[in-house]
Formats: sequence, C-alpha cells, structure tokens
Amino acid sequence: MSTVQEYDKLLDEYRELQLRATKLVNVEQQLINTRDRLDHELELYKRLHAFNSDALKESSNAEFSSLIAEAIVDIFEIETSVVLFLNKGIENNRVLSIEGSLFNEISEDDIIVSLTCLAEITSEKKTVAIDRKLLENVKAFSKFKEALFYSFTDHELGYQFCIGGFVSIENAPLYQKLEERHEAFFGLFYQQVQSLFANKQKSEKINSQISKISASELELRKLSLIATRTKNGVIITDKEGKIEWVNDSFVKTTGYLLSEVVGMKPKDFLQREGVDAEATKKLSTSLSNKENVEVTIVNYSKRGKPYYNQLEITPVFDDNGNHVNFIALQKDITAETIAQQELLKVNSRFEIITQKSNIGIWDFNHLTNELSWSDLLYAQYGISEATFKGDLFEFWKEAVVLADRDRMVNDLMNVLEGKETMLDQEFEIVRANDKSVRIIKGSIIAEKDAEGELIRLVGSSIDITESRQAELKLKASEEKYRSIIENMNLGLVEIGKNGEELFSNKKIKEITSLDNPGVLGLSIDYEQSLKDKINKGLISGYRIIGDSVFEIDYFSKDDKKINLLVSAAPLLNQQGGIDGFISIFLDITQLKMLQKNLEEALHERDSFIQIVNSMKLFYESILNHSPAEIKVINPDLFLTYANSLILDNEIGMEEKLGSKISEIGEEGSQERLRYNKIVDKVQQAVDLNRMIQLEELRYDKNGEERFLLENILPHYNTDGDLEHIVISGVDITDLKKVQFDVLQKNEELKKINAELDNFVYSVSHDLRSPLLSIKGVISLVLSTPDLGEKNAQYLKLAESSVLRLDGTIQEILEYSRNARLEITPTEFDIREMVDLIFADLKYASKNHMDYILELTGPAVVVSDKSRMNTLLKNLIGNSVKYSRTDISDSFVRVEISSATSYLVIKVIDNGEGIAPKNINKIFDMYYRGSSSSVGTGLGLYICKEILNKLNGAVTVKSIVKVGTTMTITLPILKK
Amino acid sequence: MLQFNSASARVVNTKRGVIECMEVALGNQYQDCDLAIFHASIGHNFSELIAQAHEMAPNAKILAASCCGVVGREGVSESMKDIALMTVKGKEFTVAQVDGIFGHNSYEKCFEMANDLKARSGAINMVYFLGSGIDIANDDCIAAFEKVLGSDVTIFGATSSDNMKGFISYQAVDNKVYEHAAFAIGFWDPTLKIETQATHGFVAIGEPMIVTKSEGHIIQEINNKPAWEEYLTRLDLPTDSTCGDSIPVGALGEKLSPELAKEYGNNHILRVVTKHVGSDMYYATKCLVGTELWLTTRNEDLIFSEMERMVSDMKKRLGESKPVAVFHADCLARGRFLFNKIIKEELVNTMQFPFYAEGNCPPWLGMYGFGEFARLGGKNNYHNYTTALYVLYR
Repeated sequence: MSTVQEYDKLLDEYRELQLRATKLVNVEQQLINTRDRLDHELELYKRLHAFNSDALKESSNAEFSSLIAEAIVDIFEIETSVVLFLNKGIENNRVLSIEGSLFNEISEDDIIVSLTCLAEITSEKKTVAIDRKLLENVKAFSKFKEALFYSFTDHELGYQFCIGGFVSIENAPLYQKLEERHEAFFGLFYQQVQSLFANKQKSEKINSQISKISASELELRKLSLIATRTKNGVIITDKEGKIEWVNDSFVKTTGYLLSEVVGMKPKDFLQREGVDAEATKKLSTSLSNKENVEVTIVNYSKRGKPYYNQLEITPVFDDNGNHVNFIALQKDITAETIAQQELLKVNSRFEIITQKSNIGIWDFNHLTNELSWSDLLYAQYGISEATFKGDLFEFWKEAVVLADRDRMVNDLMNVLEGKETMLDQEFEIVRANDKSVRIIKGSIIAEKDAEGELIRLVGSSIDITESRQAELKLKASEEKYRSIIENMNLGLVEIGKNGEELFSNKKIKEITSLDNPGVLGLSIDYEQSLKDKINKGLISGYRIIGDSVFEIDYFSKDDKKINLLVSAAPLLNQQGGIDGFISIFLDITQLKMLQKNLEEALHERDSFIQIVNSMKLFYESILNHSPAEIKVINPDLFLTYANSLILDNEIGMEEKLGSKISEIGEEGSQERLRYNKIVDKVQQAVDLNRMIQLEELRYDKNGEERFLLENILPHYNTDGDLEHIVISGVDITDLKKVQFDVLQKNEELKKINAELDNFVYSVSHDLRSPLLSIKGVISLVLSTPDLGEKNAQYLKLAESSVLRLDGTIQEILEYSRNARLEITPTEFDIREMVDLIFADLKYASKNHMDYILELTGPAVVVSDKSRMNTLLKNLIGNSVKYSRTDISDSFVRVEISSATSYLVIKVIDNGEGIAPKNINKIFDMYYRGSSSSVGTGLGLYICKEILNKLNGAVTVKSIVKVGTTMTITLPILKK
Repeated sequence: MLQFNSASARVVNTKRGVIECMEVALGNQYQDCDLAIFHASIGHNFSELIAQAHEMAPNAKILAASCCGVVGREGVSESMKDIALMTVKGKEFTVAQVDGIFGHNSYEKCFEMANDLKARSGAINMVYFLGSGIDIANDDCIAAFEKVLGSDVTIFGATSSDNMKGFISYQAVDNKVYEHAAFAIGFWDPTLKIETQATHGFVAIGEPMIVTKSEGHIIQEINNKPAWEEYLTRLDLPTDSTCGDSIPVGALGEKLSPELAKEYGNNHILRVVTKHVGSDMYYATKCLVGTELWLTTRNEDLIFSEMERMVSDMKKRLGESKPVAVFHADCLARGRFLFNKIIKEELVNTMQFPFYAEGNCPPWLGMYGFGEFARLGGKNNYHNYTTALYVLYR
C-alpha cells in the first residue's frame, strides 16, 4: 500500500472517529433529554398535586374554576385556558374563568356558546385532543391550532363543567406539540377535577343541610327560653283555640294557674260580654281566618280587675301547611294606657298654649315609637300635616343643616339613653317650602315612669330667626361704630359736665402722648376753656377758625410742636340737658407743613414754567430746521405738533393740528386710509415699545409722487407712562429710484450670466468633437509603421496637447454642468464608485501606488451620484497626480463613514503636500498647487462649487513632503 | 446614589406575578421605584406585565425582556411562567431604546442608542444592554457603544430569548412591546463600580471546521459545503433538526490567544449558531472566511471548577467592597437542556453563595437567554454558552 493510500485510509478512519465522538455526545444529550423530560414530568405531577391540595380547601365556585384555569396553564404548559361552570337549576348562574389574554376580544356570551358547542361535538367524538380542523368550525376558537378539552355534566347535582386548554396558531412554535401523553394526562386531570367538584358540591349540600338543622335547633331553644323567661304572657293553644300551655308571666298577670286554664279558650274567662266589642270582633275574625292579629283589648284578671291587654296572636302551621296551633303574646299595658290618656288631655291644653305663644311642639312615644308634631311645628319646617308623607324624624334630620346635624342627633340620643333628662338646643334648619335657613331654639324633656324607664320625649321649638338677625345687626352696628371711633384718624375726647374724662380714643392718646387726654376737652365756654389750658401750660396758644372750631398749638412731651384742629359739641340727654361734651381733634401738623411747602413749590413752578417755555421755543426752532418732517401725537392720537417742513409739504396740515389722526380726511378717502395705516403702526410701536418704520407714498403740493420713510417712536416718561409719539419722516424718493435701477440691472446681469453659462457649455461641447477627431487621427498616424522617430515624437507632443485641451474642456463642462443642473438624489453604492475610480486611476500614477478604501457604516448612500463621482475623481486624482516619485510606498486612502444624516469622506495621501502659504488658494479658479502640476487648475474649484451646491464642507490638512488629508462632510440627501 | 431591590416568582397569572414581585421587592413603597427591569418567560403576556407595573409604579421607567427562565435571590426556575424583577431607586441612570435592530444594522442602531445616552449624561461608566436574541451582530453592538462612550465603559447584559425555539423574543419599554428591539441603561452613579466575568467549562474536540463563505454574521459555507447541512452532519443530527435539537450539543469554539485563554480558563470562546434562510446560519458575531470552528463537549467537573474559580477571582477583585446588586446572564443551553434540576440549583448556589452578606443574597436579576456580555482581556466581549456575572459594588 502506498503512503498516499495509507494516509487517505488513516484520514478516513480519523474522520469516522470524529463522527463517532460527536455521535456519542448526541447520544449522551438524548439521554439527558430523556432524563430531563422525566424530571420535567415529575415537576408537572408535583404541580398537579399542589393543585389538588389547593382545590380541597373550601372555596366558592368562582375561586375553584379560576384555580382550575390556572392549573391547566401551569400543568400542561399551555398558552391559555377556559373553565365554564353552568348550574343548570338556576338561570344565569354561571362562572367563566379564563387564564391568558387570547380571549380578550371575544364576548363572554360568544365564549360560552362556543364552549357548549364544542362540548356537544366532543361528546359525540369522545375525544380530548382537539385539532385545528375541528377548532376552525367553532366561532370563538378559530384562531387556535390545537386544544385539550373536556366537558362533563352531573345530572344528579344539576351542573355542567367545561375545561379546556388552547394553543394559538400564532404562538404554536413556542409551545410543545400536544401529544398522546398530554391527552392521557389531561384525562387524569379532568377526572380529578370532576371528582373534586362532585365532592365539593355534595359536601356543600350536606353542610348546608347541617347548618339549617343546627339553625332550627338553636332557634327552638331560643324560642323556648324566650317564652319561659319573657315578662310578657305567652299562651299556646291548639288549632281550636284551647289552651295547651301558658307561661309564668301569664299566671302573674291574670292570676290563673296553668292547670286551671288548660283546655279552655282564653275568651271564655278573660273577656266580659259587651266590653270592648270592636276589639273582640277583630280578634274573632282574624282567628277564624287563621291570620296574624294585633289588638289591645280590655281583659279581666281572676280577681275581676280590668286591665289593658296588648295582644298579638300568630297561627302556627306544620311543614305541610296544616294549621296546628295559635301562639298568643300578651302584655299588660294598663299603666301606660292610663298615663297616655292623661297625657293626651294635658297635651291638648298644652297645644293651645303653645299655639298662642308661637311654639311648635313634638311628642315621641317611646313605647310605641310614634312621633307627632303640632301644626305650628309643621309650619315652622315649611310643610303641612295634610300633605306630608314619610318619616318625620328622617325629615327633621335632613332639614337640620349639616353643620348642626350630628350635634342634634347626639343630643337626642343622650336624652333617649337617659344620660340627660332635659336639654336646650339652638340649631339651624332649611325650611322646606322656601329653602330659607331658619334658626330654631328648642328644648327636649324626657318623661319617665316610676322605675325611671323612659316613656316619652316632648320637645318645643321656636323660630328665632328674625329676632336673632335683629340682635346680630344691632351688635354688628355697635361694633362697627365702636371700631370706627377707636380706629378713626381723629382724636376724640368725651368729658362730663364737670370736666371729668369719660372716654378718649386711641388716636388722641397717640397724638398727645397723654395718659389722660381728657384734660384737653373743651366745655361750656370753649374759648375760656382754652385760655384756662394756656394758663395751666397744657397748650401754648390758639386761633379761632370758626364757630366751635379752633386751631391750638400743643407741645408734646418731647417738646415737639403739634398743630391741632379741635371742634367741640355738647352731649344732650333726652330732656335736652347737657350730660357732657365731646371734643374732636385733628392733627394738622403735616397739613401745615404741606401748606408751607406748597407755597414754596408754587413759586418754583412759576420759575420752571419760564425755563420750559424758553426751551420749548429752542427745540421748536431746531425741529423747524430739521430736514425731516416731524409730527407729534399724544396717547389719545391727537396731533399736537407739526414742524415747519411738514406744514410746507403736506396740504392742509395746519388745519389738522389738534385733530385726532384717526379721524383726518373723509371716510373712505385716500387720506383717511393713509392716516389709518399710521394709526395701526402707532399702535404696533406702542404695543412693542420700540420704533416702527413705515414707508408711505404721498403727493406733494405740486402733485408729484413722494416716498417717505417714517420712523414712529413712542416716548415714555420716567414712570413708564406713554407721553407722546414722535413721527419723523424722511424723503426717500431719490433712494427708491436708485433701488429700482439696481434691481433692474441685477435681473439683466442674471440673464447675461445664464446666457454665458449656456454659451460656455455649447462652445466647450462643440470644441470637444473636433478635438476628439484630431486625437483619433493622431492615434491612426502613430500606429502607421515606418513613422520616423522624430515624427512620432512630434505627434505624441501634439497628442498630449490635445489630451490636455480635452481635459480642460471636460472640466469646463463639469463646472458648467454643476452650475446649470439641479441636484438629483440617487441611491448608489459608494464602495463601488470609489473602486471604479481606483481602477481608472490605477495606471495614471508614475510609480507604484496603494489604493485603500475603508468604509464604516452602510455602503449604499443617497446623494447626487454624478457630482459625487466628479468630486471623488478630482480629489483621488489629485492624490495620484501629486504623489511623490522619491518613495516606494505611495498610497491614497479613502475613509468613508456614513451615518443616517451625513457622510464624512477623508482622502488621505502621502504625496507632495501643499505649502501653508498656498493652502488658501487651492480652491481658486485656475490655481495650480505644484510646479509639477499638469492640470488646468479647475479641478478643486469645481469641487468647491459642487460642495457649495450640495451644502457640504471641506477642510484641508497638508504638510509638504508628508502628505495631504482632505476631509469632506456632506449631508445625506433624501431620496 | 442608586439603590437596588429584587424579587422573582413562578406565578401563572401575569398580573399576579408582577404584583408578587413588586410587593416582595418594594414592600408597599412603590414610590421607591424609578426603574423596574423585568425578565419573564415567554408564556407571560408582556402587555399585561407592563400595564400592571405602570399601575403600581406610575412614575417608574418600565423595561422587560423575554427569556427561557430566571434566576433571583429566591433561586432558579425554568418554566413558561417565571418572572423576575430588579428595581432601581435614584436618578443616576438613563435609558435609550431602538426598534428594528438586526444583524445588518446592529452597529448603526447601537451607535444611535449610545449617542442618545451620551447626550443625556457625559459620565456614563457602565451600560446594561439587552437586545433581541435573534439575528443580531453582537460584536458590532459593542463596537458602536465603545465608539461613542469610549472603550472604558463596561458593557454588560444579555440577549432576550424564547424557550430555546429561536422563534421570537420580546422586549418591552414603557407602554410598548417589541419583537426586534433593544434597550440600554446607562448608569453614572460615581459611587458604583462593576466587575464582570464569564465562564463555560466546555472542551473542544476533533479537527476544526473551516468557514469557506460568509457575509458579516451569516455563515454560508463550511468546508466548502452548505453550512447548516455540514454542521448537522458533523453533529450527526437528522437534516430536519431544529435549533432546539442543535443548540444543546452544537456549541462552536473559536480559538483564543494564549493570554486570553489563561484568563478565560479555556482555549476557546464559544458561539451559538441558529438556522437562517436555506442552508445559511446565523453566527452570533461577525465571522470571516478562514475562521476555524471547533465542535465542543461539556465537561461537568470543569463547569463546576471554573465556576468556583471565576467567583473566587471576582471576590478577590472586589476586596472589602460590598456587592449592592448582581445582574446575571446565563446561556439557555446551560439550563434544563444540559443539567438536571439538582445540578442546576447546585451551580446557581455555587455562584450566589460567595456574594452573600450577613446570610443574605444581594439583589439578583438573572436570565437564561441567548447570549452574554462580559469583559475578557480587559475588553468588552460577547459570549455564548457561559454563565456571566455582573457584580455592582461600592
């Protein structure tokens, strides 16, 4: 065997070995998978066990079905689940539980209909696993791929249960495919659910019965205890009314023993013929009809003593509805009835009294829980007894304003509970008829029996709204005047007729700093009184101002002179006698000073007016010599000033002075329109608080057109208030003419420029065709054999000149094309573009050169493809053109980073470089950066023009003999 | 200063799951939540999840991602109904988000998020990144974040997943649920530091396969044969095998430099592959022609010993500092698809116990996802088939 064969054999064996190794790994993994699946199934069984434990706890049907829904998702790791419980015996008794969100858009009714439909189909097919084919026929389940479903009905207990787990078509790839084991497991699950639920239902039924029995037993025990222990009498008779049993209270009330009355009818020994006939008849009729009856009847005890018996008789029926007994409860209410009758008499008398005194009365019988109101009380609350329907107490509570309600109810409860026996109240109500708020003063009195048990509550109610309002008004008025006097800016002193101080207010104490300012009060003879005060050194002098009015000079404790104006008057009593005197003082010290200052100020004002007048003349003289037309208007738009120039230039200006500028000229006239425009601008200048310009056309006195540029300037005083608006106009008629000429010339220049561009394009294009013909002819001649060396040299020189000329024309064409054509955004691969340029230039270099492209970001960009090509060709071409011949590792590297909104292109070379002094010139037209340059000097100029057109920018970094980096930033265009 | 709390639960009903987690993590102090990050199994309804979270903490930023299982302080759980939560209180964080992230635009989308984060704070020193786990070029994501935020920024996080079906993954931000989105949380709490590390414990076997045709993160041919078919052949799996069949046994290893191998405790970094159109397959990062890919096999002893080594190294690096929160990304192939329940719980205990303080596990948010981010050789890196821990400490 040759070595090659041996090698091949070994290689085959080696590969076989490798495959076996990976196979072993796979086998191991399969084992792991099996182990994992078992592990996982164990986990699922654990979840099933956990579900059983939870389900066994007592819970409602809703909780139970919700638990099942969760368990289906959890145990079967299925996408969504539905559980429906229908109680067939009770209409609308159904529970629907859903886990997962796939049924969110389907109505509950649709789901239920679909589930019952699915239940019918599956019961026929006897299947648990449901496939797509079956599901797509059921409305609510059309979006599902597969499902596990089971429905069972318990006819004995009367319910139906549907349980299902579903996987949607959309998410099926995420879930395990339902297999046989799922089906088997689901079978186990629903059996458990069925069993759990049946047990639950039975258990609930039994529990319910046990509770009922327990409740009945308890009830019986309670009744027995009540019957024995109650203070009321209890009689149990058979269906014919013959006594079977009476309690101790009956014996105590009537004096008859149980043994004496057994077998007798109560009416035979408790009633007297002819007594209380009406009640007897009612009782007899109800008993004959086997109806409940409540009646108060006069009965007689064994000793023959009459008593009022409040009786309630109830017929008793067995489970089959047969009448078996009567049970009668009786209560001796003699004392209460007599008391009530007495009370009624008292009440009627009381009502008459209260009616007269405007007092409303209410009465609450604690024994009967009856509440009655007097007519006046009805009226106080704005209702009438005849029309009122409802509960009086509830009405009263609602009528009491919210702020008082709790307090009132609390008071009432305190009396009811015996904590108080009598209470006075004041509260507000809203009267029902006119919704006015009324103030009510009321009292509650509790009436109790001898044992202290409450019998009734009696209450009175007086509407005190008007009197309270009057009181409040009076009080407010008094307080108001007291406050005025106390806080007024006048000093007030009240003295008695003997000169003693009765009252002095705060102000007089402040002015005089005296503790007893009464010493300054004037009495009887006011002037004499003032003289006395001078003698006592209280004041230093006085002057008579008018009848009973004086100005006095008073020195305060700190020797400060105070001028006081005092007016005095006597206080007369009802008989016309004098009880005292009131003196009112006004501190006029400041006023006196002010008077002095005013006199000085008036003098100053006169001097100032003189100065202002002379300045006014001075400024008017300046304004009248101004080359601008100046007019002034006040904030109300009245024309207050016009200089002489405007008076000369504008017709009728003198008449307009003093007029409102918005009203100058006839309505609708040109002049009115012109001034309205000025008014608008004035408003604008005022609103913006700055100068506004207005250009207007006006005709002068000779009827010639004149253009005016008017500056509208609002003027504010130091307080920021608008004082006037100055409008100064300059004649710009000549300027307008010049402007018009310039615009006209501009248009002409643009036209000439466009024509020139077209001319350059046409000429260049026309020049190129013959030139290319010349080039072709030279090539033909050059390929002719036997061409002499010299001739060949001359022809090559000619060819080179032609090529250079063609290059120049091409660049002119490119320049022209850039100027003429609109930008065309195109999607293109920039990597391909650069690769093609590299390929074109590969042989253009004098020596070896590396072409490198580095692209970051997407290669496909959107820009003007043609311009981009010219741009890159020029830049890369320059790097090739100016590569160094003295090095062997020349390169040009293009780095392109494209982002979403911009493109950055760097063209880097290690060529000749550009001297710093020339860097600023390289983008100039016809500039050639190097002595070795062979170009036209248009290349970079075109690049700059292209970048201008594309809104791009370029930066240049260059070091001589090291290299150049051109960085271009361009916005990505929108396609 | 940021504060963290966590909780996890297995509850069937999504709303109740959220309520339980929020209650456990925050007591009833829901106002103490400025950011809530949920990891939840694919069986949960993510719209319900975020709605419930918003109802309980209306002022908090709510984020969520799907996964195959969760790890929390309460332990590990892998079912269709797991949910785990980490809450953050404080202002020193910001969130950026993009939709429509795929392999071909991973760089641009992450560049946009990184710029967004940087615009809001210039002091971000760590980024929790969580993107879709299906068709994404994770090394491009790292490059974009580093380009904007600098290479010193620590990128940690995971890629969201389903239950290893490779069918769908969900991301939720505020009120919307996405299927191909990513979010990034930039933290700038100056008191907070982070340690990250990843470990796997697999061993390369046999001769490598050579990538002979690829484009970006899509491998078209291996050994000059259609990639997916060749891959299944080498694994001896039937041609109709799904990702669920291949992922547990099909970890592919790329060789590391000796220095990195020493730090990593393994000569190979692992990559997960999933099926793309035809016979193409997705690779988790860019894969150049000529790349050698080894088949690997798990080594249980190595898995445990490497886990112990990693946790011990991290503890040493933490020194006296205390962990305040631990984020954790685990490959879903390391869950119940490789280990039985007991081994998995032991492994989680091995990684958690050393970080306990006073008998308590620090707030912990872990997920079983498609991939993990952690530093290697001092640089941010992307991993598969690993356990990656991110310990935030002071």
